[in-house]
Amino acid sequence: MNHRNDEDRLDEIITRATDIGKVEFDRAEWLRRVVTRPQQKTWRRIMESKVTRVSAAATILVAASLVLFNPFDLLDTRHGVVLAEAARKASEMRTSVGTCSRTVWYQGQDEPCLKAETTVYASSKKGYMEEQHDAAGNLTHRAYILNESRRFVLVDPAEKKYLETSMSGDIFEQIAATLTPGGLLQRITAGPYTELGRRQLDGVEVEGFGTSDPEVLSVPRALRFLFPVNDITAQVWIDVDSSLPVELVIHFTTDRGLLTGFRKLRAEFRTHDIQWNPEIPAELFDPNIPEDYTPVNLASVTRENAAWLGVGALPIVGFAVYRRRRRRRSSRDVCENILATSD
Amino acid sequence: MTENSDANLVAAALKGDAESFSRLCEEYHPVLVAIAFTRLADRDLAEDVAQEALLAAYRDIAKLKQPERFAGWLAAICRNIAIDMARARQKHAESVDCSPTGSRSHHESDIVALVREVILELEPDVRDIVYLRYYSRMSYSRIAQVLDISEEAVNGRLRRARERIRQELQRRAPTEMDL
Repeated sequence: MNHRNDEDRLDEIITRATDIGKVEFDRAEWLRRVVTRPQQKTWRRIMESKVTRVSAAATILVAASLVLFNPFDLLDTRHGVVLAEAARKASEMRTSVGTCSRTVWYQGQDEPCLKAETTVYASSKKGYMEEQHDAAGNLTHRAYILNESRRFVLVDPAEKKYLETSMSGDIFEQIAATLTPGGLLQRITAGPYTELGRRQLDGVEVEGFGTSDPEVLSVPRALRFLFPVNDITAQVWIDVDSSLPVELVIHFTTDRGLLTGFRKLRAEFRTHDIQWNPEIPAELFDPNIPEDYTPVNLASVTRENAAWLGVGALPIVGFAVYRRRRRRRSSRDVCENILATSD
Repeated sequence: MTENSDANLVAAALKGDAESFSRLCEEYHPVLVAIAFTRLADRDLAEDVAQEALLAAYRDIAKLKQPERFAGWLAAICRNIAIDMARARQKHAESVDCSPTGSRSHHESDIVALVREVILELEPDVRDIVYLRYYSRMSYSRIAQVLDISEEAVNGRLRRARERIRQELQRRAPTEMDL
């Protein structure tokens, strides 16, 4: 083989070795979704990647916010006696406090990437507050979903930063309605469920119910591209004497999403030691952010680039939706939902 | 696309012209995927990183002081995101850890796989050049612009990369390769 042929042969092999397939950016589709829609400031804040990409706290928080917890508005009595009574009792509760043990793994790995204990406070009047500590006992975040102001606030003491955003319309309602143990119970009882029988739990006789119905337990459709949860299974264990939930267990997996740091995750959230109707000081629902804390993501929004940002949040949403649209046909519906529910 | 046209598009984008920014996205998306792939060896992740890089560029474009250097600025953003992601991942790429295959006979697909392994063993900045040249089919001057290095550096590193690939092929598959 002569030198020229050798070189050509080497070029050909390298070309084949570096071929990762054709990559296309659908500009027309991107523009259609970006330019023809109004501004969505709230979504821009939620989607701002500096927050969502790196913050495990935010990831776990939002996961919790979207799929966990809740004791109010449980009026459905179509089901069995235990569930119906539990629903009735939970609906009478004004407050609850519980501990949620959270373990999260990257899919395919045995060692968890996060182990945390989270104290969760819920008030039918005030909203929701949680305080999470890592395995070493360090406070990783406080988070609030506040009924009156309809604000979502995430405070990161280690970084002295906070994220604050308003959430309006259906999105707030969907999240706020699923933040306490009874909310999960309500979800479970809203669709097909499995009776798990009775067992002893810390000396208490409990009866269990579970579901894996994706239509019953799911992240609101409009938010799926943020935190694409799949394969949720949930169990609720109810004290047969008090007719109140004493343990809630959720397992779920996710696809890659902005709020998962583009990782595929699996997680177990186990809520236990639930107290019903305890007194919760009102101050607990005040974020009371210290003056030296800085807001996350708004710093980059300056007057200089205000004109550019005036294009709105849709470019960012567009990116995310575009990716999902390529991979899943139904993402078009997701996008439409986002657009329909934004402020 | 030239530096001037980039600069014009960036200037328009700074004024809120989504069409211009989308053209930049269209132009650079495949390049960013290639750069991210050299760090991650995962096509899906590379696409995610590319999108994040475009998103970050959109967010921070006001910080770009020299619009004519948009390509290098954008590539650096992508590289940093990919590096962050790679660091967070466990050791993943079988190809990186692949041991020599001895003197067994290789079929054509084996040779391509072997070259892919060798490329992934190159220094990351050299990998960038190989992928931009062979996958993205970019000229030396364009690679130099994107990576913010001289054309001479591109030429030298690519030449050394080819030599390294050639040597590794001769060492690992001597009966099949006579390059």
